[in-house]
Amino acid sequence: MANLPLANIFNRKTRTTVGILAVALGVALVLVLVGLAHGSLDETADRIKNVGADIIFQAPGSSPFLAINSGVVDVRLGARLLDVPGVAAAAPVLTGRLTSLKGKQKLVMIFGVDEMTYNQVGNGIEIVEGRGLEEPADLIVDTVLAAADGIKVGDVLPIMNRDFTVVGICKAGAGVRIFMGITDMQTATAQPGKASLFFLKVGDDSTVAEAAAALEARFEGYQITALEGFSEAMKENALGLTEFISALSLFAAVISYLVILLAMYTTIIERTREIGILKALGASKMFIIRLVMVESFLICVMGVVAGFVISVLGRSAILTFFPTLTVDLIPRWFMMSAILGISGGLLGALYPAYRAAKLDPVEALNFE
Amino acid sequence: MSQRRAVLKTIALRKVYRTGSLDVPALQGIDMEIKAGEFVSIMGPSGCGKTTLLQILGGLSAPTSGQVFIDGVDLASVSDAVRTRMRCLKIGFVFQRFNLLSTLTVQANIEIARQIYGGEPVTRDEVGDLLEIVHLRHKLDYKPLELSVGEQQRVAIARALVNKPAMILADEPTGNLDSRNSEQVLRLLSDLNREKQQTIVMITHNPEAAEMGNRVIEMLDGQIRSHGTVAELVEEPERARSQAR
Repeated sequence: MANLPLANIFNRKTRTTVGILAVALGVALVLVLVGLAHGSLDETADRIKNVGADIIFQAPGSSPFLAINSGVVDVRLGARLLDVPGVAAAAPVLTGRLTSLKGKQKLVMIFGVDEMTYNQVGNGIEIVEGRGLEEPADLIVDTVLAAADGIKVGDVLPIMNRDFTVVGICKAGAGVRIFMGITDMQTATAQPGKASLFFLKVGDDSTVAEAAAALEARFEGYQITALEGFSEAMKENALGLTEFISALSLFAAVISYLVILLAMYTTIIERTREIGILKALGASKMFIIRLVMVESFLICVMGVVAGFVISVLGRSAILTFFPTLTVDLIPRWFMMSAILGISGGLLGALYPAYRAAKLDPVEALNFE
Repeated sequence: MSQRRAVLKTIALRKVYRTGSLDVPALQGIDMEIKAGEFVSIMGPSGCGKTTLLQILGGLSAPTSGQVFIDGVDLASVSDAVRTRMRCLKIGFVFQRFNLLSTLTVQANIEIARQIYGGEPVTRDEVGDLLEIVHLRHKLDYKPLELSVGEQQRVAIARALVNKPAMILADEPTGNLDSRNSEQVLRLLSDLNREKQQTIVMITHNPEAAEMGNRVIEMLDGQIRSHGTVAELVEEPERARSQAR
């Protein structure tokens, strides 16, 4: 059977390519940016979980985003935490963040830790090269950051107006990418004796739930989060994440809508005479509308497929050039972005289709 | 001839175009009847209203007043959708500029007319048979721009035939052709009329082309000036004119 939409798609290569690329761009934008947002959150949550502790203990009103908490609890609280039934170890951590490293702009989270207690609450800092934190101004960097920025043991890094020496490279995936002594962090941030949180280890004689209940009873109002549910807690508290994703989705749909609208509108103008011929042959308004919509649908579908390919390639490129970032291409969002791209495109085709259907056949046939 | 049913009949057909505040009459009361199996040529100088008449007869536009019956259905009183459907079911168009779809092959150009018509898709063999009539079976897979202008017009004739229309409306079908191709196309139309009793209404300003029809309607200033056979028009013009009145 004659397939006019397909014939038009293959005969109008520039128009088709532009349409496909525009839809693909919208789809890829959604997939990659949502993937980046989710990936960063998940990766951060995973690293915190991989510390190996059972509970995070924070001051009332603290955020699950550990990097934004200042030193609001006293380090001496650790001794009282150890008195709570079920709590076997408590490691104070003072969090900090860098906005640039080795002259490059990047956001990096730092833990100021007491390495001995930190190693007691979980898997600890697993040194793969060099040594642990022993002296003031010692610094440990994880393997990913070291590889990304070419950091080696012995390098001196100016951090928070002070020169630190990289004394060890640790295995990535647990906690943060940079560790320093908690005293150094307290000094650097002018918060002596303070911590942002405690990682707690629950002893074999108790469950996490029991220990958490005991902590809640003893420290009313304090925030006690089991690491099991930390990822979900982060996402729930990720201010603006839902709005960000909604805005992205709308953006993608609007791009598809506008580009298909423009592409199909131009096509209809170009093909006025062709539409006149079809009308002269007896094509109904619905036939013409269907023709335009099918053509747009095919362009959108090809755009969505191209968008998927660009997303996968884009993810690889991001991971190659920015190894500290994480992009999770979420299967559910493949479906969502496809729906957005196609529905945006079809909406954009509606007006040109309607205009084409309304063309006067005599005028259309005389169109030059 | 007189016992045949009327495929087309117009009564007091008028068409007025409005240009700004000016009314320009294109048709001023056309009464005519075309019976099944007739080959009628409509002749006249440019601007006499013959193309407007063809557009109305083909349901491409509506008259300002009057009636136009195609197989008993008054196109002037039906909705645009019904007029479009009637065009699809009853009429096959052949245009001066061929009006083939350039992105489709010859076969697909014919198929799409059946697609619009609905029902069973036309097979490749059936398309081949239609192209055989116009001697182009071997050009099934060509695109229009790969054909000569004469061949394009013959494909347009094959397309017009695909849905077995009650009537073919041909608007200056030889207007863009050289004399050799014109002759071929006119002979083809004549053969279709003679051998398949296909009703044909052809607009032309060329008296030689008009001679192919078995009746000629001569138009002037939006009215029928005369009608009859070519011989009658030449030999007894006054009589032909009085018949028209």
